[in-house]
Amino acid sequence: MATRTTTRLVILGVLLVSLFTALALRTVQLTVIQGADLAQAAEGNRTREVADPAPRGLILDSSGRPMVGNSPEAALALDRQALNESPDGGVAQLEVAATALGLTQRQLSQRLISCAEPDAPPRPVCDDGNPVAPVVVAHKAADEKALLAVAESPSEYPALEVVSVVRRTYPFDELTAGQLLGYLGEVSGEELAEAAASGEDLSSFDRMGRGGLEQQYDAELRGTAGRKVMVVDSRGNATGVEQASDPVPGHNLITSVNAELQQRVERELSDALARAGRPKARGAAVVLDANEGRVLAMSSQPDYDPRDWVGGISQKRYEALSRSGALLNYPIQGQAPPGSVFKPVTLLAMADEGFSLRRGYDCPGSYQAGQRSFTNYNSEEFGMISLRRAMEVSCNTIFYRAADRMWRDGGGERVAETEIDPVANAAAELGFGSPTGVDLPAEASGFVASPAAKYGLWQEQRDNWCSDAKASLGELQASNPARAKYLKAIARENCRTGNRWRQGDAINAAIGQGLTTTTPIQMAAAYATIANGGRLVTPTVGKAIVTNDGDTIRAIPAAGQGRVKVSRSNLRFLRSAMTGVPTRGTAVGAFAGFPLAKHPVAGKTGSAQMEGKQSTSWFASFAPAVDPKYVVVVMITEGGTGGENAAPAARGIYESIFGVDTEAVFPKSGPPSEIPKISGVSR
Amino acid sequence: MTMVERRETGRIRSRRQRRASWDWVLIGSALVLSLIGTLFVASAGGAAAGRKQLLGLLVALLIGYLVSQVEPRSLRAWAPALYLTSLVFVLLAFTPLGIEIAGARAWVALPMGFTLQPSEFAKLALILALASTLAGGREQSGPDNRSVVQALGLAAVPIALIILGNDTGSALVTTGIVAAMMLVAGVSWRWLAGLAAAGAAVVTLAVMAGVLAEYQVQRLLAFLDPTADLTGFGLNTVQSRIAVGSGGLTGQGLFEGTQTQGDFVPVNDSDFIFSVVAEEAGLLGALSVILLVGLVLWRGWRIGLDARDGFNRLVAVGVVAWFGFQAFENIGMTLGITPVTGVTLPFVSYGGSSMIAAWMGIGLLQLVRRASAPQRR
Repeated sequence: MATRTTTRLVILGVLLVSLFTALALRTVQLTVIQGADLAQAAEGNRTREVADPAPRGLILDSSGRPMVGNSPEAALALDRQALNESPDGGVAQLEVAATALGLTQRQLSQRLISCAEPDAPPRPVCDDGNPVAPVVVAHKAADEKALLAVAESPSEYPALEVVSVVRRTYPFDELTAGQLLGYLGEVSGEELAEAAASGEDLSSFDRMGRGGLEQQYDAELRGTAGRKVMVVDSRGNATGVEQASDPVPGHNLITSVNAELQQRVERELSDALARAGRPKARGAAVVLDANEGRVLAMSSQPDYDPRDWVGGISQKRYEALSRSGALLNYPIQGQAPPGSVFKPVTLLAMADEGFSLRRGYDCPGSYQAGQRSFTNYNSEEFGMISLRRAMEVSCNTIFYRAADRMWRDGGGERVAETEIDPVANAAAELGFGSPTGVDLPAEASGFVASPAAKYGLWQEQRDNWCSDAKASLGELQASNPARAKYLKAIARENCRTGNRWRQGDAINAAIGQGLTTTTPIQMAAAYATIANGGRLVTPTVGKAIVTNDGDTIRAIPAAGQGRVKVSRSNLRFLRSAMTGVPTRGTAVGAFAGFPLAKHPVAGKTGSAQMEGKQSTSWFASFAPAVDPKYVVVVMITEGGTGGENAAPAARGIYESIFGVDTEAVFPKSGPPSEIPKISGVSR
Repeated sequence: MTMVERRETGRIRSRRQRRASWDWVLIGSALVLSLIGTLFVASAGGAAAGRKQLLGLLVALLIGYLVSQVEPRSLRAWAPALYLTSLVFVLLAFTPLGIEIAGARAWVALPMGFTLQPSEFAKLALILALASTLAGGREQSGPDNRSVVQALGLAAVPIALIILGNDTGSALVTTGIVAAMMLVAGVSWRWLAGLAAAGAAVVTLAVMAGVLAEYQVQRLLAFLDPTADLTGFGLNTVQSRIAVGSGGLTGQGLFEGTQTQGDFVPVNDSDFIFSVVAEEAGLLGALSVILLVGLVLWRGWRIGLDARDGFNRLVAVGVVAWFGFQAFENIGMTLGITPVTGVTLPFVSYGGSSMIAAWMGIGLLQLVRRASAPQRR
């Protein structure tokens, strides 16, 4: 045929060849070059990973009774995507879910907002889990009928699913111990990323320990969630379970805490707070085994109830807890001036500096140092008394005079800015100024005043002080010009000479006032050292990690840190001196009627003065006074004097320990040291 | 005279002639494609669909054979009547007899629950009508203006009806067929360029004037950015790409493709059948299908080249353009390089009308081939 149409036919042929070459190349591109990615996408289409949660380990008391247990409960899983895809935006289903869960619709909606969103409600109300996974919402006041309705007609509620969740239970009804035990929360996106980076096995289905023992021993309690891979079709219907890894149950934690004693400690402490009658009063109580430093009970008041967090906490409740101070763990985070409970430390320093423990000292009503006068409580004077008597009646002036002399001997204000003075040395020796290492999260370190410490503080704070000295105080200037003037003067002085170790600093430090602060757990550890004859202790709550069959995975040792460099006889003197405090000293009222002859208690009261507030009430003690087994420390901010408030609480605790008014929580030989056998404890 | 024909002179010519009158490469390729299609239709749509497809194939083979046996000279005579009949059937889709599927009014109900997609046959009738009209021109100058205008008129009616029936894909393919036939018929470049410009203008105006609904435009453009509309046609494209890509070199195995078996790719027994082939038979399977379609096109093109007269050549070209453009559009949309429209992959996709029409095309090519062979003694 002729050329014209042939040419045109060739053009058509070339066009078709090009088109089909393009198809072939594109096929190669998709299958070979992008093949791996697309195959992964196909896998993602086809499968849905669901959690098979691992039963979390229990937390048991020293006799193997669970303080924290588990029980399976029905909950609702809400699929946000399915809700959004519903014709009415999921309103009807939300309503049913809210009814079933006993929440208002608003409360429920808030729980569904991912924490990653800009206007999300604060944690822990917002959903901190995987943003595409259904949100599991469980709630105590669940309406069983509504739950049943959802379970029975899945097609009617495509966004809702009744699931089984394992909830934390707290078998001792009277036991709170929120700060000690902690609670569980969702895994955050950040934590997931961190775990992925470090190769840790953590999934968005897991719940993590927040606070207390749940957080401290999270890795061992949590176990590893199993994974079921459901094969689904394009409508999300499961067509089979492809591969499943079994959940690995978490291990149980046996603690040295005695559940009965813990309940008594909580009650005594909250009673003491009620006695204090101040809305901002906060309390801490610590009971240690004097020899090993094991924690036998520990309470922070006001406390949260861990039950509040089960199934998620409401925003209102969370804010209320936050306002009340229940989110701080005062035994290990409450840093307060110790006042006179610090005197044993000063006494040890005095002995080191050559003060005789045997001779008498004059205890006038006040001590004049330069321009300033430092007084006893109520300016009471006692005349010539022994140091033993000075401890009993809590004479301050003897310690002022001693501190003043040590200050002068040390060079007065010309002391080197790196110097640690004898009192600070003795304090550091007993563990003050650094965390004790208790097995609980976020322990505070306290502060021990010394020339070096004051200089360090000044270097840190100088700029703030100097700008405060210049800044206007605004409202205060107008309402209270005298106070504003005073504050400015202090700031100015701190700015200029805040580095100097003044006479007053040394004198205040000697009776646990001024810059020095301690935590109750530090005080308890220090008193344990005094009580046990000089062995340093690390307070420890956990005793052993055991399997469900009771096999010990690891025993948690009560870590000893060696001995203090203090003579045994000085410690013996201290123990003996403090024995008189409940019998004829500042705690005599608190211990009136307590069988001290049978169960001699040695202790020291403290009433640390706070500017513009009621004193912080302390009682630090151990018993029996000879061969002590227990250490009890109680601290109540705005609690008044130690004898008024802290000592009575401690007395109540001792009554429980020794079985004065009830059955003794421990046998005569002291707290159990062996690990209880827990086989057969149900989860 | 071509090489083949020249070799056909000899003592055993008549036997060879008869054997050569069947293009076994063409028929074999189309048959293998049809069988592969039946297999994967069964995989995607179930055994019942596979059986129905096999039945359709048998009917298609029979009808294709009958078409190939039509006397070549009478074909041209029948063209106007076939053309008009096909229009009637296309119009039937708009009557109560018509059925709407996926928004397109392109089906007609037949007795016993069968359905017919008249546009499939309208393409064939239009090819015959256009070939008849455009073949009249002189060799060097191509068809005269009058023939071109007449051809345009013939093409415009079914295309307009198909667009009205909302079957954008078929309209595009039919336009391609018309363009290819005009090209090969020798219509001057001036005409072709003018028509291309006019076509572009009409499409632009149609979009601007809102003749094409917003969703139609979106649907046509979804393949450019499939993630923009993950609930509609964008999703089809994405899922289809995933299916193709996850096949790898040799595929996941027949009946084993997870995208296919989990119904993640929509209409994957019909419009998206290629995704099933690629997922379950891999790159090798997909390339085999492309190669087989290529073989059909090559043989058809060759038949067109060897055709004795303009009419026969244009019939072959029409059929080749039809198969070529429709297969390109269909596979292209599966791979995400052409818009998602409802056209089938000839021989492979599920559907009796599609299968029968495709084999009628093969019959026509075979008929042209027979007509081009030297006359028997």
